[in-house]
Amino acid sequence: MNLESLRKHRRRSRWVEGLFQKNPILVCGLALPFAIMVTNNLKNSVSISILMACSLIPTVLLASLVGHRLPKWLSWAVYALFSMVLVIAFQPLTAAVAPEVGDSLGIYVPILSLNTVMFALCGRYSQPGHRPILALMDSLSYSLGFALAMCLLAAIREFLGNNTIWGVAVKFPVRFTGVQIAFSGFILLALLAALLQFLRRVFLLHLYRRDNPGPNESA
Amino acid sequence: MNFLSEFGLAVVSAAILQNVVLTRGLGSCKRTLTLSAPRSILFLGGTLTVVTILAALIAWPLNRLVRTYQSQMQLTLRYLTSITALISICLVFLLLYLGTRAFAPKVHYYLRELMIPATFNCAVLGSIVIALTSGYGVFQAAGYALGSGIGYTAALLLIWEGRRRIALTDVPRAFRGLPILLLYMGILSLAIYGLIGHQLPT
Repeated sequence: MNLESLRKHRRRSRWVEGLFQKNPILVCGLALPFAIMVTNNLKNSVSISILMACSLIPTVLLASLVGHRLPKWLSWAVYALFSMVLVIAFQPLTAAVAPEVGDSLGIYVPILSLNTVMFALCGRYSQPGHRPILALMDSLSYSLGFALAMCLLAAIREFLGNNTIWGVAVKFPVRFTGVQIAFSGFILLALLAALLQFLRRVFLLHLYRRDNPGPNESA
Repeated sequence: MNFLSEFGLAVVSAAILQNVVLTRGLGSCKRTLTLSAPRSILFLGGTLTVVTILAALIAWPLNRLVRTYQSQMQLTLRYLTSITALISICLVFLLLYLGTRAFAPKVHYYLRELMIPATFNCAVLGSIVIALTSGYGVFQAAGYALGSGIGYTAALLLIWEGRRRIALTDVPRAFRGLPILLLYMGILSLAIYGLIGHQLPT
């Protein structure tokens, strides 16, 4: 059994695992409130993804640099407060995407400071022996993976629910207004997660079969 | 009597009609949704409820104080309510963690692992921010916090029961794990939507 290609793929994808292999929303099931409630339209999703990246990357870097020096009971409070400061500091950036986004996001802006992606990565990199460069790469790839999943979901929901993309009307004969409601967020997310799981399996199977042809194929 | 009815209404509204998990998706992450035993769910839910109530009771006067100061100084800082709520949550966590470690080591031993996911949970912050921004009084805010905690625990127990039943069925391979769990939650959320008949404001 030749597993060299699979191992090589796993080693290479370690640097960008947050994008597909361990996508924070579709595979790891982290930060689900944002994926369910904020993906009503593309503008909201892009805004929250920007805020997520702006708060996640510095907080994970902080955890990797000083996390092992802080007592465990203090570190979580420090990460949460630091993240809240960053979220509030970078919040005006969302006005650049669309001025109305700040109001429509509501409580989902402040709760970014307690998102589970951040706590998962901070927990991993606050252990001694982890290199800060890996923390930086992981927080970058997880932020990108989060943005990718959010934008995909938002594009589908906005298109089907409002027949618009980024607020621009798109001609489509049917409009499913129910897609904008919370339960559709759960169901659409489930379908996308299943699709990604299926595609991952097909891809890994393809790599395995390429290196390990069956008796009929080798003949 | 009026206080009691307001308190009761806030509890019922937060637990059922505005369930944090099923209507707002708060506090739902794979780790908490896949807790394997009802005992762990009850411990997590109980801790979360206590933390939410205590934090709401600290945040309410703190928020009032900050708002008064803000109007006096004519500051225009957004998200002040969220900052006071998060500071209250951190204070409650430190008090509970250090207090149980010093005075009740047995309780601390059982709760030390669950205290972090129960405290630094967006359901806690979200509930307190909603209670504070809805203009609730201190009793109503405490009732809303209690209802949120009960609703969170009930939702996790419902999801655990669903997972237990799904495990006995033949689910297509692509849907195993997170996708089928999210589908089940979507159906529960649809039931709540049918009950309230509209979408909650964010």
